[in-house]
Amino acid sequence: MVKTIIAEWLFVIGQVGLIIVLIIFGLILRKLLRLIRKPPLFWILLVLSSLFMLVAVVFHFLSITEVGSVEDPVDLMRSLGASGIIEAIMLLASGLFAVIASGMYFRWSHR
Amino acid sequence: MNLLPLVLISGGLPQDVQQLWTMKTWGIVVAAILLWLSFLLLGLSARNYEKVLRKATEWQFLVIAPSGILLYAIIQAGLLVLQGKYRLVGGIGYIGYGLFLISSIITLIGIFRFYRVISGRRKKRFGRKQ
Repeated sequence: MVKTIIAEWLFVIGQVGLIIVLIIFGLILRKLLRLIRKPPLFWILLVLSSLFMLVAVVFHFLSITEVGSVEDPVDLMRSLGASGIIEAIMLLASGLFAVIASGMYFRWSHR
Repeated sequence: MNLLPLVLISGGLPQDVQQLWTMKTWGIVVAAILLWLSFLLLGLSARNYEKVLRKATEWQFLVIAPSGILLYAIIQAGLLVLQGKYRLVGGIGYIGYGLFLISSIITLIGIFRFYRVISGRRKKRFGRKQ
């Protein structure tokens, strides 16, 4: 069990790394959009993407710390599942915003 | 407290809990694929930048670096479909989450390098060593 939680921490640290990646990605996109004379505000999508991932990380962190606080395993699973859904929605929003921003830039730069 | 359910195998859990965990796991898998796709597109955009402006961007690194995120998604989806596991546990947990972490760090290095190139802080010219 402890091993599982350690592995979960690897995921959390990885997600924190991706938040930084998305912020730098946003800064890159801002410069590139200026270069091809497209609306530079598009880079905000990547800032939003990093914010959604930050919320997902918080929910994942809470789910790890919640493990020892609920007595009934089924209740624990229900509670973890509910917070997990929010985490998944946040990650989906993060991925969707990132792919829209990078896809639009790729399309514009490819012309 | 019985911690066995945390191993998260679908059997034996109430239907509503199983649905929650299945949706959550698929959501994370799809999100990981979308993130991988966005980093892949960034790598390909870096290739276009290199072609047009003739500045070395090391776009190959940017294309390969996020592969761990895709592998994590494949492992997670495979375990859910084949074994009904909602979370990566034990050795496979270390492999899956470890790949995700390594990929995240390598992507960070790659994207930082690209940022330095487009900021003009890295003056290496395409096809030339300086």
